[in-house]
Amino acid sequence: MTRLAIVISKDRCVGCHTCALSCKMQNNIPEGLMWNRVLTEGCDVTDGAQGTYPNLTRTYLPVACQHCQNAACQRVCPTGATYKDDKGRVEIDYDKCIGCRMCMAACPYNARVFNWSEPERLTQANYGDARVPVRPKGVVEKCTLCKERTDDGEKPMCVICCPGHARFYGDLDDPESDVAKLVRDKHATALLEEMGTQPSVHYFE
Amino acid sequence: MTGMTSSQGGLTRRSFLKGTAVAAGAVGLAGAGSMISTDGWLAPAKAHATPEERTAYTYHQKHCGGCCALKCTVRDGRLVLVQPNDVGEDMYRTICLKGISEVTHIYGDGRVQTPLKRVGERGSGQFEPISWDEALDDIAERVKEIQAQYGKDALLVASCAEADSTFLGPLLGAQSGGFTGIDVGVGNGLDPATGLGAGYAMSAPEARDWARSKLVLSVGTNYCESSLPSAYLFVEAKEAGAHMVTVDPHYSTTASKSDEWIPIAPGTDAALFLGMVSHILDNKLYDDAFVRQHTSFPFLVDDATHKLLRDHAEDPAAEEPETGATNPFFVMDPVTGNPIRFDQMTMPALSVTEAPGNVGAHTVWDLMLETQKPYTTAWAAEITGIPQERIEALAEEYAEGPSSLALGWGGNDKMTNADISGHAAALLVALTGNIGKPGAGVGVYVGPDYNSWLPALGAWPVPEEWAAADSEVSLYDMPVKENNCHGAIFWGDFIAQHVADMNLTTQWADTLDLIVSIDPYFTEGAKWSDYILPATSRFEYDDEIGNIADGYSQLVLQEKVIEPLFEAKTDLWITREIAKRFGQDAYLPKTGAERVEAMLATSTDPQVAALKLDDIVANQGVWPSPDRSEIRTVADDLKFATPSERLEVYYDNMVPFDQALPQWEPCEEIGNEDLRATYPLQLTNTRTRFRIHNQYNDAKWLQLYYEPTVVANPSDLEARGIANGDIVEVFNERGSFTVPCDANDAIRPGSVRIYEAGTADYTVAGNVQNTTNRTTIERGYSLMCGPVIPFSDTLVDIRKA
Ligand code: SF4
Ligand code: SF4
Repeated sequence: MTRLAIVISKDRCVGCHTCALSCKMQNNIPEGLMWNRVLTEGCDVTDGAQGTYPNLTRTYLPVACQHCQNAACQRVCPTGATYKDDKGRVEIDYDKCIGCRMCMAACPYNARVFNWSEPERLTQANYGDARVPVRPKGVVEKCTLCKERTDDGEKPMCVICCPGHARFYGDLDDPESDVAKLVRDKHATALLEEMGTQPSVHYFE
Repeated sequence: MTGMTSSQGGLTRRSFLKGTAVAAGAVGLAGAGSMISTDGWLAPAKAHATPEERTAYTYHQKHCGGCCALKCTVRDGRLVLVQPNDVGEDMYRTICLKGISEVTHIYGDGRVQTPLKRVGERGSGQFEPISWDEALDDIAERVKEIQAQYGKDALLVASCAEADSTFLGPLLGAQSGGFTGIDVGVGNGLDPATGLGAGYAMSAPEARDWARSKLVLSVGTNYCESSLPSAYLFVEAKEAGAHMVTVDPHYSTTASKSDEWIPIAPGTDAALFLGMVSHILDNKLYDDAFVRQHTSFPFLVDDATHKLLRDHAEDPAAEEPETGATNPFFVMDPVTGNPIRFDQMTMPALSVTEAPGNVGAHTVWDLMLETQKPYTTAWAAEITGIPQERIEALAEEYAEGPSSLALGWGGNDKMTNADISGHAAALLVALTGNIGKPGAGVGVYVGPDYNSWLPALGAWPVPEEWAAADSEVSLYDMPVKENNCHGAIFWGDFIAQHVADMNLTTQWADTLDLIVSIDPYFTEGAKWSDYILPATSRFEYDDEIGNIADGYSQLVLQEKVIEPLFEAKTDLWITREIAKRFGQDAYLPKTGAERVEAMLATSTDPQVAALKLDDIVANQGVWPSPDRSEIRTVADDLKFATPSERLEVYYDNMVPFDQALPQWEPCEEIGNEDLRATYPLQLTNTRTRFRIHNQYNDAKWLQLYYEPTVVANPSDLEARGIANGDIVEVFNERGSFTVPCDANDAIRPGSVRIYEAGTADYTVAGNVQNTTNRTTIERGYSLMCGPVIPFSDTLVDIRKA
């Protein structure tokens, strides 16, 4: 089997949001929506810190679709629009999506976003990779693990743009892959493991 | 993970769009709206069955030190994707969020679309469109009038790092504005000792060298933001075992990525270094052989003049200082007690007390032992707020080495005593020999391209008569000193960017007979201009090849990615059109390609001179420096670019100011206790990953993350009845500005932080520079690069607006 994944070093992540914007660009994501966001744990201001000066910590946490093996979104989707593909990626068939947003409510990672209105782009034109389908009003969308790139053997855009060299991509089911080794050797963990969603995306210190 | 809870027990959609509501009301280009709206220009792209798509290569910003080589995808004539150029090894495939934001930024409504002529009062932002010919004719005529009446130097042509503007100033014989006042604070004090760094403390090896250090001590630098495209080198060094210690008043991004953060009182870096020096001396932790052989510590200083003993008096009119070979320094023979040429004695006396007799001189070492006496570690602890034991342990660790001392441009550099911190850092390096060997270095490590293997480019040959005039008064002093400047052409936002105390600056600007602003974007300074000329962005060109630049250990080519947008023209075209009106255009390159070929052919490096433009084009616009597999180091042979080729720590020219050796002095404003009673908060204005100075203020994708916001410690806000997110006025006697505020424990109590270049169109009201300190200290004019503008040596208070 193939289980494509991104593994992220929290120590290397410098919280720069390059991954988030490279994703927005690559995938022609309209204004108001993001597939990938960089959170700062426990903070509601940009580059905040936990604790009281000078006893402080800060952890950046880039979050997008976790490509769960036991995906909460997939289980609730009434039309089968959300599916897991043969490479272990969770994908959306936009033609089948009826916009009920059950998946958004089910996803514990808040990874999904919805086109409430006609997509608006700052340049009033599509940008990004021409291979990426344009989503209409009324469908849910989220990180596809750069399906169009990874299908062609390229790395996801966030991985090639990350200035922290914090993002690693590969097949978890291949024990020789970088990501499988990182998960093994660095004791990488998944977010909200207790929810039983079995994410493919992993994080290590 | 407390921040990860929400009503559904999942990750919150945290307020990453925070602040946009505020900005929507605040942003506006007063009066110019109709001329700069993108409506009409940006009609939706026509739907082609099979869109035409192609790839082109260019480089991005020079100003951030990234100069990232970019691969750009163009579809139906529009820029749709920007990604790292994928030629070369991974480490050279760099980009950051600013590069990516260009996909929408270059089409944004911050662009100036047509030449504009002022119709309202200066500063009102009222302009009307005008044709290129009309604008250029008017400008040329007025330049001629000004220069005829007041002399050639009555015209100032000043340019930011991003513009392609080299020819215009010299061809008009204009002055260039003298000292810059920016990024030269620490370098002013450090660089005379090493002879490196050009006054900007750019004397460091590549940051890759950190992986070979035992200690990387970052003081006043936020590398993980300022050097974003190679931020990974910081964590890689940590992974390789270097102890990463960051000294900063605030819990910066770099502090949070370090093994240890040491908080320090703002403006006291010099005190920390002086305390460390004392501890190294007291405990004999210095490298005795290095000190005697590679520094000026053994040099004799005349007791009467307090100047270094030389063979003969220097001619004050000499263009270049004499070398140690032509005019030797003297040391003392420890056996005879006689002065002897420094180059004839391998192990000279460190102190005159080592030998009998009295030669009427003392060594630099003797003087330092004396001047260091007050600077005990207990004293340094008091000034810096760092515990004495921590200072001592740090000194021991630094001395052991190999240690890198990473300094910066965003902290103490922007305060009046910055040169003293640079000078004190030089003492640390000279005592411990932490330079010129693997894992050791000093200076600014920021900017992968600045410290990399830069292939030597030649230049387009220009007529000898083309020469810029001297600037008797520097630009930042023009508002307060009599000078002969009557007109200015600015490439970039000089009025709001390069001068503190904005209200004074704009009063001065209003006295000029002509101001021209050339920029792709509508800047704050543009509002004071009589003409605004729209320049192209780095992605647009009118010809297949634009320019060539030194990138990160490579040459990078600017190819045309898209046609010029709106009515924008390239800087070279604008220069040529102005030159034409002065009968000088025949001397300029006709095309970008012609210029690039000349820059290659005239290189002093035979490998570069042999390069053909087509070969670079064929390699995706990149020529890798042949040396780049090696880490670029500095002064490996321990020969420094000083007259004696040693680290020269004693500054003769500072004798009149009692700074021949570094002497503690508090900052001019934030050290003023009386003023602090009225304005108790230091305003630090630093760089951020979200901007390059004022560039990208208008980039909508970056506004998602940051818009001008003052950040304060919750305790300081509570004391003033201010809540997180409130709109506050930041004020002092010079002026004020109004912005939202964030409560953030990362900020040191007693300070507030705003990222620099918050210009008035992007704040709720006012410009950050309305409040900043412009004081220039007296000794500043004798320093290498002139006085630094102490932007962060500023006291303010804040109140709910
Ligand atoms: S691009 Fe890399 S370093 Fe930047 S926020 Fe994303 S994961 Fe972190
Ligand atoms: S802003 Fe600097 S670091 Fe970012 S992409 Fe451009 S050149 Fe690279």
